[in-house]
Amino acid sequence: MSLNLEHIGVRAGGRMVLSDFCLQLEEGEWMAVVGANGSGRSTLAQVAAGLLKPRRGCVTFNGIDIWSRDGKPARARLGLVMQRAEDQFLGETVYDDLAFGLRQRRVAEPEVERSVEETLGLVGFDLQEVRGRSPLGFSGGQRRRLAIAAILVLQPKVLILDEPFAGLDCQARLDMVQLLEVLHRRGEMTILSLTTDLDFVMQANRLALLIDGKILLVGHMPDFVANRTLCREAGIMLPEVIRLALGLRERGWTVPILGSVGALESAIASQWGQRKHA
Amino acid sequence: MIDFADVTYRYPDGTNALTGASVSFQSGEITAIVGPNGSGKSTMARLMMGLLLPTDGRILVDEQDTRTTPASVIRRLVGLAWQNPDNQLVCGVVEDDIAFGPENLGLTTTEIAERIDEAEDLLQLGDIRTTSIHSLSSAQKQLVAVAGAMALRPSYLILDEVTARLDPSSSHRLLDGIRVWARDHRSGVIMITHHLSEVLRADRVCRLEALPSGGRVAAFGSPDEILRDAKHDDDVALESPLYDTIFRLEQNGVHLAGVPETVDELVEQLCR
Ligand SMILES: Nc1ncnc2c1ncn2[C@@H]1O[C@H](COP(=O)(O)OP(=O)(O)OP(=O)(O)O)[C@@H](O)[C@H]1O
Ligand SMILES: Nc1ncnc2c1ncn2[C@@H]1O[C@H](COP(=O)(O)OP(=O)(O)OP(=O)(O)O)[C@@H](O)[C@H]1O
Ligand SMILES: [Mg+2]
Ligand SMILES: [Mg+2]
Repeated sequence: MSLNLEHIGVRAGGRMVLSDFCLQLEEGEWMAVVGANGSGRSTLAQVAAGLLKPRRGCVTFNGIDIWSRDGKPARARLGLVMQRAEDQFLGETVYDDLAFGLRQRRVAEPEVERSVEETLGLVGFDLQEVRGRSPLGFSGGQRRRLAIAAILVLQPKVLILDEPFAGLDCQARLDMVQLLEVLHRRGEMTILSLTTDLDFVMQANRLALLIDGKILLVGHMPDFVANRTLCREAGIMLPEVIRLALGLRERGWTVPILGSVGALESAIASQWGQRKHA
Repeated sequence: MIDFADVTYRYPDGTNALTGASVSFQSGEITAIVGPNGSGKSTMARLMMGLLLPTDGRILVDEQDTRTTPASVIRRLVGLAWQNPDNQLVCGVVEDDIAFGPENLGLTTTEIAERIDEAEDLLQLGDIRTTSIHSLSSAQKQLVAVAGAMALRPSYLILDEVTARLDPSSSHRLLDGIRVWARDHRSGVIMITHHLSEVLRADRVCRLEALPSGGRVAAFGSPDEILRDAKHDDDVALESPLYDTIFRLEQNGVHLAGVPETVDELVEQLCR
């Protein structure tokens, strides 16, 4: 049971954006792909979500080729939150926008309303307050939350998020991470998130580094720390606190790199005191 | 100077976006506008440009009231690079797109070429100069949109979250370019952002808060002042993991000489 991208080739603008690209998502896992601008994240997201048919290779979901004759139901289980929320809005009002896909699935209206209300609640909106407003009449960060709700309401099995945190304020980012954690922990959803940095992806089960359309590293934070030169060359920054620990180590401090933030801070505080006295 | 005097804005559907904002933005300074989602930052930008007119209060751009001055006059003074560059890019190849605005100003070919060169140079767009817009990645589009806004040489340039979808190296390229541009032309830059590191490099910070009655200016001052009151206020929406660490270190007796802007600076200060 998984989403499988096998030997994918996608061409655009006269060059291969993804070539011989392979990635396997296990059911219930959260994989975070990090890649610099132009590395191919959005292309990968669209291929994985069944919105872009690759020129070469094969995408299977639970063993079914999503582009085969029987692939349509499989594609319907994949949901993509696009990089630009505006590209995704389909309804004149928030309610119609969220109801759109459910109505297409011929869900009865009272059930539609219940789902829409519940899902808006997950991203911090009250249906009665926003029901009749146009999705375009919201601020940048609010639109992103609406766009996520519009996909969640369809209860995808695989949730693909292209830059889910861009434009969100700090609290909204934390809320979003928490929401993804809940969805993921409940085991109802497999998540593929695509970002340009390693902050806010600590909760993912696996991290992958995308460089020029190729996955060059799959693993966990320690693997990224060990391969920090590769990351730097790819334009990917390690999380700030890890860079702080690494920087201090280079200057002769004894501080933990991958421990808790609290452990790092107390190590810094005690050594700072000692250094002042010396 | 762009001067807001007790400005309130309510959208036609009744949404309160901004209430009683009195604040001024100086030319020759970089002012950051910060605040949580929905606190009225983009609305303030639209008001400065005369795209929206205040429901109450008034805005003067270099002494000219946006309510009574023709929009074309205001738009020569105030330029904007959008939160979403696709709203702004026209078509064709990169250099044609950048030239589009200056051509409409009726400049000579030499002047136009000079402005394109300057923008492309500052933002290092040389390698995509003749690439067509539709084949650019979103980050490249964002850089081109800013280049187009620069080429108009407005007295005030507003940047609405232009680094939101850029990786760290593209962000630096953009911010460094803007800084040089602002200094060379003594222009004012108004930078809307959620990134603390950008706030720290501004000359001045305007912090908004989101209230049910609309966004409100909660503080205006130097980055240091804003940070200091941020420590006592959970609602600033500006935390970053690094600054949380700095605050906690200070509480544990680690007193730094100043507020470091980067991880490297923090390491330097700790080692001093
Ligand atoms: N339709 C297209 N025509 C030409 N080139 C394209 C097209 N779509 C994508 N590309 C190129 O393919 C590369 C990968 O694009 P993609 O949008 O997948 O990258 P990304 O990692 O999502 O980038 P961004 O950080 O800009 O969102 C980029 O260099 C882009 O210029
Ligand atoms: N076109 C519109 N019609 C109605 N209400 C709007 C419109 N645009 C924005 N609003 C509302 O006005 C308020 C301020 O929005 P604004 O876009 O100025 O916020 P912002 O500070 O830029 O937020 P963000 O960080 O999310 O971009 C929000 O409550 C928003 O929902
Ligand atoms: Mg992309
Ligand atoms: Mg905004």
